[in-house]
Amino acid sequence: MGRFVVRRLLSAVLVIWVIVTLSFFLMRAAPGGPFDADRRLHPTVEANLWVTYGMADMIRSHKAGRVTDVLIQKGDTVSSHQPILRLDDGTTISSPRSGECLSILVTTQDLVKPDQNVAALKTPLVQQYLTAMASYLSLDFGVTFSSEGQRTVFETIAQTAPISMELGIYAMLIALFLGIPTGLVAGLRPNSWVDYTSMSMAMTGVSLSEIVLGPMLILVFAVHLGWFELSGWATPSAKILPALTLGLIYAAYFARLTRGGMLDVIRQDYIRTARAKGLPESTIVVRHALRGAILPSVTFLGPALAGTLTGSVVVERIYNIPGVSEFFVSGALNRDYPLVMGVVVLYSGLLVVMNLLVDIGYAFLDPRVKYD
Amino acid sequence: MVLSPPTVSSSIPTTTSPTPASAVFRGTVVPPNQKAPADNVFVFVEAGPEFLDPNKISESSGNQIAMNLFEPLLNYARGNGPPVPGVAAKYEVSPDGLTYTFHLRKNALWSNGRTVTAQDFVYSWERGLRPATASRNAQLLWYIRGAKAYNQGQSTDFSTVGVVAQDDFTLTVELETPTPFFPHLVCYIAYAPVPRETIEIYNENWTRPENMVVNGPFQLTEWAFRDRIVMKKNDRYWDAENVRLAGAVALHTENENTAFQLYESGTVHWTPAVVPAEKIPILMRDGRADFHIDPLMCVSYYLLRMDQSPFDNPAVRRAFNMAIDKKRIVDHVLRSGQSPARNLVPPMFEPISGYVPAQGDDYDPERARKLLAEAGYPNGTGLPAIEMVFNTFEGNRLIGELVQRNLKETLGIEITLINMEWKSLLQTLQRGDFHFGRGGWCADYPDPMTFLEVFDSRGESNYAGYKSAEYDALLAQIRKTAHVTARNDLIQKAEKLLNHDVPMVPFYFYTRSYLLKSFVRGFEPQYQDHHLLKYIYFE
Repeated sequence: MGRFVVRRLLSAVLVIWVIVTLSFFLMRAAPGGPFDADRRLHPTVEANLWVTYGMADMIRSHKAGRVTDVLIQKGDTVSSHQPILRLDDGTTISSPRSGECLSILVTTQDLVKPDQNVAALKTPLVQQYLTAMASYLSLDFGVTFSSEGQRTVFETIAQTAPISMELGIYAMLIALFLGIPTGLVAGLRPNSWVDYTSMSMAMTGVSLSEIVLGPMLILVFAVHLGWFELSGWATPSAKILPALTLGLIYAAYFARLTRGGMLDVIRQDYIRTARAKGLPESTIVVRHALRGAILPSVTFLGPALAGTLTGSVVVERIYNIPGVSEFFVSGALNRDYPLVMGVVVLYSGLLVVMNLLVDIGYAFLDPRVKYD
Repeated sequence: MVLSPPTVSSSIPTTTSPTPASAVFRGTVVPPNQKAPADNVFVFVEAGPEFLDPNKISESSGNQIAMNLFEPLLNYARGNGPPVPGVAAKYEVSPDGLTYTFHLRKNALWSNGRTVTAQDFVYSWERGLRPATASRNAQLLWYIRGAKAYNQGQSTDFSTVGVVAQDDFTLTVELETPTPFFPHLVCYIAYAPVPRETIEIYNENWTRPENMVVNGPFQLTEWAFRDRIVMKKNDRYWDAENVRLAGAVALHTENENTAFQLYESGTVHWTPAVVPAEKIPILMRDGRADFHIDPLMCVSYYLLRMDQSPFDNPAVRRAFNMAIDKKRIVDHVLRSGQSPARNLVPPMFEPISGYVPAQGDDYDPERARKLLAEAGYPNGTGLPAIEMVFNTFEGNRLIGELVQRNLKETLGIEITLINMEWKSLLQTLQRGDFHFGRGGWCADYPDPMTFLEVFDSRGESNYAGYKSAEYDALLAQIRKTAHVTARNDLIQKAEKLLNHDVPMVPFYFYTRSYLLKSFVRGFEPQYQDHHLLKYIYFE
């Protein structure tokens, strides 16, 4: 068991590294940049932003003179030692390294002084990647672009993720306590009215999705009956509807999975053997069938937990909950590279850990599973 | 808190303020649930800013909060009047319009008790312009002499920038060119002072409630990230006796339906900019007195990329402009009081500066067909495939479909609609890789120049690729001219040139729809949506 956990943890590190690397490059390959805006920034202002966030640096002149020619254009990729400005004494100022030119800060006839910024060059992607990986290793994800560098990614997630996790835990409790017993009962009495009623409801739940259920619950219980608050996460009463919305959907999944599991198990030879031995039906169900019946649900529990603990974008939007899920969307839309990386690591980390826990859980539930 | 269901009451005594002349819509029916809260705290919804540093704020939600925490030299007036005194009690302008001298009041204090001095402004503007601050707003300070070079890092000596604290209470500012709208610029948050001692201790954490020191009418007491921002009246503010609210709360929501429900339930008193589109016709039909539509100083247009066929041909551009029925867009899709546009500059400048916009071509399918035929494309035959690009949004698609049908009817042209994710659209526009693309502009300051400068040959947002030496020369002349009438004439000339060259097809002028409880007073339509809480009270 110990060796299994160590092996799984090592492969988890590899998996997360692959995810982080893919996200890093995919994000930067997406069209548009983090500082593109409705009203375009002046190249200088944009260059200042790129430099501040460590994704570009300035080329400085090493001498004084008057510019007679600008030899490159914004957007050009320059090579190392390529001349970029010609001065009136016939000499040139060259780029110290290769890279994409973000902006040129001088024009012809300008006077330049030694050590003055003349152009901004993007830092090559590979170098950005190496620098970023080094800081990710020390769990430093930097600052978010959307806060203009005033909030760290860690703080942003630390303030919002606990709210999403709280919602996720409530929802999961509702889902398990409602879904599994319903599935068991339905599975024990297949094709009875209990089965038909509960499975119709579960089917409705699976197909409804939060986007329909949420507003319906708000309309009935918050607007018309006035029992609960419309939105927010400040009071216990505000938490009930969102937890129900998310929980009921997952309850439907668990009910269907458990029913299927029970139908499978109840026809197995070892159950027939138990019956033949004359064991009471309750012992058969609880001691023998139950563990097998919930295996499919346990499998689903891993991804379901990772999904609910990082929040549901839909539920958090509908109920206006200040959770972390919003950043999965806004981070990507705003090309907020550090923030996206933070939530990607959070989600993939949780997913890997939850799946590991599920696998360990198997060993206890299913006597046939052994990890050596 | 449990919300009680809305009660139906027929006898709530109310007085409605007279409808302001500039409003587009005001109803007369006062709905129930309009009782002023006893705690005197004004609650509104906001998109939830992530930072409140005056030197960096560029989005409207941060501005809406920070403008009540930090007071610049001058303040926006209630409504659309000229700026009123802020930290500066008065100011003088030199006859050439290049030097402003601000006289600061001696009783303006920071919330930590220190007097606000001229040096505070010098420090703030230096911080805003410092390249390392990387402020997106820095450009708004470039009107000051030497500011651009300092921001670009070409000069590292701030004494080269035209801002001098003559003494603790006198600040002189030298400008690059006469800038008649400079008093308006000075009201903007980028020109507000910031507390040096606090910033030096707390660095980027200085705007957290426990650290923040302010000089405005309100101070920050709670900031629950992405949930709410709570402000209370700042008793040390020099004009505190005229601040009538005890405090204000900005609730975070980006969901317009949630905002609407919160408003209808009475939790929220103002929903700026977030009334669900489908509710607007209902609110208007019901004649709701608390539903407002006000004009905004904003224009919506579609850019014609001028260096590509077919829009490199001026006749085709003019034909397109005349073939699109903007009134139909406004009446059938938008339906909230927008006015169809025939030119770039919105129509409200006449009472401000006397400027009467030059009207461009009207909807005229007959002439459009003729022009297109003369350009060599009779009934649209021979035209290359034309794509209309916009960002993914239901309203944009509806407008696109209407324009598509419109062009088919009038010119016989079949255009393709392409919707894109927002940043992808921006990149497409910046690269000039489009034919007909969505654009628009809102005023940075109440002057026609804010619109005209977009189409400067070297303008960053000149996505149409409009290059006219004549137009650039006119802009240069306007920048140098201080005399009002002469300046207006030049502005009109520039606009006529745009109307003739058609780098974009003006669609409509924006409006702002919002809900505001009937007991709220001191709130007037404002073309740029600047509403200071200082003026607001309940009755």
